[in-house]
Formats: sequence, structure tokens, C-alpha cells
Amino acid sequence: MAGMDLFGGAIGTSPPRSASLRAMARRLFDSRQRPAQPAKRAAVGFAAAARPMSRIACCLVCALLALPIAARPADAADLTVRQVVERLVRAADGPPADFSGMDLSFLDLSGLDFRAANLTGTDLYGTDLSRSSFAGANLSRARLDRSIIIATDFTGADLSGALLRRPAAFTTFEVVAAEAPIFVRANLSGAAIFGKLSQADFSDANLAGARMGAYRDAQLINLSRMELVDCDFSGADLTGADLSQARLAFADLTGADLTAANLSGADLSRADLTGATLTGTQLAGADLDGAVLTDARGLDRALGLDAARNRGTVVD
Amino acid sequence: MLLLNCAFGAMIQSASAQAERVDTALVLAVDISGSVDDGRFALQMEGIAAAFEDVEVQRAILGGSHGALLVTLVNWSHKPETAIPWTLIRNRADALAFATSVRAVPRGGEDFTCMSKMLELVADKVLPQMPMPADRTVLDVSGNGRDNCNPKTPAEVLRDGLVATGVTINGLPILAGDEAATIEQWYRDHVIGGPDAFVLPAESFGDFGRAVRRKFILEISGTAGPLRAAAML
Repeated sequence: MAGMDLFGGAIGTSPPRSASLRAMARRLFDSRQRPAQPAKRAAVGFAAAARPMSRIACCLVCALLALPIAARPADAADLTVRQVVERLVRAADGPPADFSGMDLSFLDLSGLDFRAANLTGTDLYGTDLSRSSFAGANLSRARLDRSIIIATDFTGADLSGALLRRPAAFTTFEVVAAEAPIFVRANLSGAAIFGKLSQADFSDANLAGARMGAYRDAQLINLSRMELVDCDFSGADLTGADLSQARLAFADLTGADLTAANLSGADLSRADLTGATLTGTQLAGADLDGAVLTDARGLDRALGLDAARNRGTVVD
Repeated sequence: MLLLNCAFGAMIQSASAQAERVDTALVLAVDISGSVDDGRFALQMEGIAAAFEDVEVQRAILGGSHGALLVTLVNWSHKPETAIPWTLIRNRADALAFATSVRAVPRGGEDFTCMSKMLELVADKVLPQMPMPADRTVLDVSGNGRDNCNPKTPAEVLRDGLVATGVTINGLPILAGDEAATIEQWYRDHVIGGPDAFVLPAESFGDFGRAVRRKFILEISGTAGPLRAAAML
């Protein structure tokens, strides 16, 4: 399955069939990654032939396991685009369309209406969802990594436990408000979210326990920060959410519940936290340059406030 | 003239009583790639809008056995998209409202002319979402350039797939720009297909309105047969 080297297997919450394919691929990958020892092999010569038959049998099994993956093209989803559309059309007069557990990766599903559809555990890796509507849809535990979500509407959708890492939310490098996805009143509790989602609307969304912290590459060298500049989090539930190192400049956090959220190292410059709840919120290293904390609740019980940057410029 | 108007009025009334099936389902696929600047885009939209305001076109729409037309507008370049979803036209007011919607379509589009992607969109997303059956399904493709997207599936293969499902694809090549001398033949070879399919070129973007009006009357009234026969002589 294409793309599994990017995020697959790390968390293991994608659909069962994809998970098993990924496990097979991982076994194969691991076997290929074992360092070859040409010098030693040359020295041994034909002695290698005397190795136990079990070793050969193991190689054969590996090769057989690899066959379904090698034969499977990158765009071999469980349904074609037309089949998806036909299901959606049929659902217009009946029960909601059911795509739960299916592999719809890499399909062009842009401009479609998935309102109220069941996409529980669906694999939408690399899928083009731009300008589609998922209002009220169930996307819990779905995998949306590397999906295209330009102007996608997730209003009221259930994305609890979903994976939304490195989606493409904009046509170019430029952040355009009209292209930002919409997550108003969506349930993103426990979701893993990472990427550039600036200007997205998360108002009244449930982001409790969401993982939106910084991401460090495999070499532990480059630190990538979640981009949430100028996002609307007004009234959102961010209790226990990980927003460490996130760029939240100019974000609207009015009335948001940030109880026990991790905002350490986050950029909150010019962010509006009017009426936000900050009980137990970790603020060590956060940049509070020009942040508005008027009527913020639980500020005295926030953690690491002394270690926050530009605290003197805060608007109380 | 009065008699004609009365007859037309009666036709509109009888048409408005029906809605379960339409005579023609018409997909208008308009090229908005890089060679189509704002002015040319406006000329195309104005041409389509004016056609739906034309009494002759309205007569063709309402003169069929079902007295109704389904129409949708697809704008295509690098990535095609449905600019106006399926709309039922069963009286003059519907036609005028559709014309207003066409004029309000914003200019989008990118550089490339991806005919294959447009045909894929029509086959996979537009036709399956047709809200009611039609006696005839017509895809009306206009543009001034050949596919330049190195498509995974060639346009003619997708064309054949659509034709196999009973769709007629007509072409309105606009003889303007670098491909003015060759585009009509390219449309004949790679785009059109199906029963009574025809090519009706516009001499320029300025001529688009005239061509599209004539084309609609032929497509909607199902009288394209004689034109095709004449063109083949």
C-alpha cells in the first residue's frame, strides 16, 4: 500500500485490512533493511548452500507475502469513484451511505456530499476531499493523513480518534481563508492532527485530548510545528490537548476551555484568550506577546506562566 | 405572432405539469484553461446565458414529449469542477433563472487543458448524480485546445466509455489561438461520439454565442441528424 512508509504503522489505528497489509509490508521492509554482508558471504562461498532449509523456506514465505502488495497498484481502493458516487446518490433517499472500514485511499472524492455518511475507520490516505461536505458524517478513527482538504466542510462531523497528519489545506504555499477547512462543532477528541491548518474554523469543536504538538523527524533534527495561525477556536473544548510548540498567533481562543492543555513553547502572540479557561494549562516557554487574557479563568493555576515569554506585553 | 405566443404559453403550462423524466440531459463542459482569459470566459458564459434566454432555445427545451431539460455546467482546465449542479428546466422562468446562474459563475481554472479529467468527472460524478432519467444524454464540450495533460487514460478511450453508456458527445471547438487550424479535426477524432454526434465550430470567442445557440437548438430538439448528414456530404 503506497504511503505506508510515511505514517503507517506508527500508531496502528487505521482499518484492520490496511493494518494487516501494513504489518506484512513492515515485515518485508524489515527483511530488506537488514544489512548485507558481502565480504562475509564471499568468504563462506558455497557453504551458504548448506544453510538450513528453514532459511530458504522463510525467504519463500516472505516473497509470497510480498506478492499481494507488489501486485496491488497504488490507487487500488475498495471502490471506484463512480461506485462511491452511486452509493451517495442511493443514500439520498435511504439510510446514510456506509463506507466504514473501507480503503478509499488516493481517490478523487472532491466536490461530493458525504453528509451523515458512515466513514468509521475508513482509509482516506492521500484522498482528494477538497470542497466536499462531511457535515454530520462519522469519521471516527478514519485515516486522513496526506489527504487534500481544501475548503472541505467537516461541520459537526465525528472525527474522534482520527488521523489527520500533513493534509494539504491550501492550493499553494499561501494561506487563503476561503480554502481553509471548516471544523465547526466537530468532534476531534483524541485525534492526531498535524500540518498547516491556519485560518481553519474550529469554533465550538471538541478537541479534548487532541494531539497537535510539534513533530520531530526520524533523525530528531528538524522540528516541525503545527500551523494554526489565525484559527478560530472560540468556544472550543481543548482540555488536555497537546498544542506544544504550535503556532497560534492571532488565534481566536475566546471562551475556549484549555484546562490541562499543553501550550508549552506555543506561539500565542496576539492571540485572543478572552474568557478562556487556563486551569492547569502548561504555558512554559509560550510566547504571549500581545496576547489578550482579559477575564481568563484559572490563570493563577496555569503552569509555567513565569517561564512564558513576553509576559509583560499581555493585555489583561 | 400572437398565435405563436399563445401556443408557446400553452406548451409551458403543460410542461410544468410534468417532471418525472426529461427529454434531454445536457452537460455543458466549458474550457476555462490558461488560454481563456477573463474576457473570453465572460464571452462564453454570456453566450450560454443568452442562449437560455432565447425564445427558440426555450421552445426547443419545452417542445419535447416531456417538456423538460436537465442541465449542468462543468468548467474544466487542470481540475474540472461542477460550476452549476443539475438543474431542471421545465418552464421559461427556470430557463431565465439558469441564465442568471451562468452569469454569476466565478472565473476559476488553471493553465492546463485536461480534457480527459473532464471526461472522467462527467462519467464518475456528474452522470451518476442525474436526478431523473432522460431520453437522451448529451455532453456538450467547448474549448480552443487539445488535451495537454499527458493523461493516464486518453480522451478517446474515455469518450468511447461514455458513448458505450448511450451518451452523445458534441463538440464546439473555438477556432482561436495557436490551434485554430487543427482543433476542429482534433475534436472530430478525439472528442465527439455517439448517436448523431456533431462538431459545430465557433469562428472566434466572439462567435461563441451564435454557435452555442444553434448547437443547443440542435441538441435539445434532437434534430442534429440532418446536420451531421450534411456535414458528411
